[in-house]
Amino acid sequence: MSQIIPAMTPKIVLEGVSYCYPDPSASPVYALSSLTLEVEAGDFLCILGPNGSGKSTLGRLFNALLLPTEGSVQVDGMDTRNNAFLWKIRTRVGMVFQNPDNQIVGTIVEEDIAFGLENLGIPPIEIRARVDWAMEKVGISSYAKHPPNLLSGGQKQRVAIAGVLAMKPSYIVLDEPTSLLDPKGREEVLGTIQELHGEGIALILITHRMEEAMLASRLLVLEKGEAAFLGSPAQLVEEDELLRHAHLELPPAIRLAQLLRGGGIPLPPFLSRPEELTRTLCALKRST
Amino acid sequence: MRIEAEHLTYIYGPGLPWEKRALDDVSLQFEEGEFVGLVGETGSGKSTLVQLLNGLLRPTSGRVLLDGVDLADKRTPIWKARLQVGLVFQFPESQLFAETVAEDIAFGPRNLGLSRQEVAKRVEESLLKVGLEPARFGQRNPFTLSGGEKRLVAIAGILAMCPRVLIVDEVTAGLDPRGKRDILTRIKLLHRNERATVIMVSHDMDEIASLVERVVVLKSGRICRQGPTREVFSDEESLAGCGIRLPTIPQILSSLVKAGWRLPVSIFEVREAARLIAQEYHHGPV
Repeated sequence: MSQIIPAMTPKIVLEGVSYCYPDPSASPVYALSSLTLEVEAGDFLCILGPNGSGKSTLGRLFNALLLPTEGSVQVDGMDTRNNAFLWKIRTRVGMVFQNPDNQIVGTIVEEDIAFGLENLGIPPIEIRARVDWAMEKVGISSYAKHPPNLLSGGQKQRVAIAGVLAMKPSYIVLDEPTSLLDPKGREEVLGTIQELHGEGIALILITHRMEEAMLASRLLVLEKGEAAFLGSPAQLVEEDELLRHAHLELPPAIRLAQLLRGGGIPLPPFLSRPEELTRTLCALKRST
Repeated sequence: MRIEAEHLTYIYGPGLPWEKRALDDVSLQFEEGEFVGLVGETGSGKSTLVQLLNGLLRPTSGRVLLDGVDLADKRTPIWKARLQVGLVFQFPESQLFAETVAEDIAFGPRNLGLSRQEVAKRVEESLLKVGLEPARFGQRNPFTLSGGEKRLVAIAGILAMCPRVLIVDEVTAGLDPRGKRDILTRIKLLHRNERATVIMVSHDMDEIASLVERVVVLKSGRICRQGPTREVFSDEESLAGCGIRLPTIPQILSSLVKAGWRLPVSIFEVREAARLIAQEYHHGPV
């Protein structure tokens, strides 16, 4: 009976989730405690917080790589603790890790992307179509026959994303996908991420970079395994106290905009990108 | 210590089908006590250059002089050069191996044949230099530390050799904002208090702009631009030609200048930039 998927509710629901790493010697260490959270279809949630605050643990709870010690995680109505749903859940919720080298298995790019699909027993014609589609989406079609180890970091990370994308997930969890990349690679990957969001895939982005966080629609700040903030980027930039004790530093463009507003320039309350700031400044000046 | 690189060329796999000229006739100097940023796209030759500077790689042609002494001179043992030029690799914490922090840092000085007291003194001093309390951290297992702390321990291990030049390659990569700030503060203090020559390799132009006095830009194994930080970060186009973007604040200023605002580009301080922009906004021509 457990094979039957409950009535379709297209969202991930975390209810009172705690996770405790087993520690044989000492008292248990809670990486996450009583977290309640929903990620809806098409959402773009970013998870921030210092090292050790529970970000990666939370990321791994979304697709049953870890199971909650207390509380429950439901993916489209399927409880991650129910083993019968494991494969369904893993196809719905894709994972992209920090280091693409740890995730790439194929000897050439297109084989690597096909790997997950082959394991699901999908017919070859469909595999071909999905691999081509995924490569196209992340902009790597021209390296289809290249060995992945000869690609740049940004290209490799996009291969890893294509591999996940080919599974046609509804959600993708990205755990610091740009932290090992150079500026060019980071830009490529961020472009791809935004493209995916445009396709209607819900994204959960774990990052330390505030510039990236500002792209999301919602932000969750974790501190010692607890939610210290959940809200929009525009709300977070106003939370001086929280930013200080969570050691989060606003991107230079946002700090500049805040100072300019303080200096009597009627800028809108939230401008996340440098281009937006210069465009708005020019428009305001023309109208004075 | 003064470092001179003369006509350095380095070729990986000479004569092989995948032969790669990583550095191509590069000449440059680093003066005593200077804080220099070394930047360039991935594959531009930054890491090859810093490995040549401390003798980890031998140049295919050209030479490196440390205070006038040729690194390739057979009469000066190569390990002596390595002692003087401390190189902190990318992800140096992966090289930690001992059971305690103090043991790990003591490894290098002990191999120099220093006395037990001298080794202990160096361990303590280098922990203090990176801002880790010796009594609190000395006996900890390095693997129980946070990412940022591990990296500080790895840097302390290099400092225990008392190098006269410190080279750090992507030293903040992958750290959280707090770890990043701690490491950069420590490096800034080392430069200021110990008057060490520091060469910093980084992809983060905001980081470079806020710290260094001079910038060297590499592209395809050659020097593409070099000069005082403000000068190098004043011209968006020529920098773009080297595959490098301006730091965030100069980028914004540069776009405003293109739209007809009268502003300098090479300002790195947010407050200073805000003051200048506000002034031009209220009083400048439309």
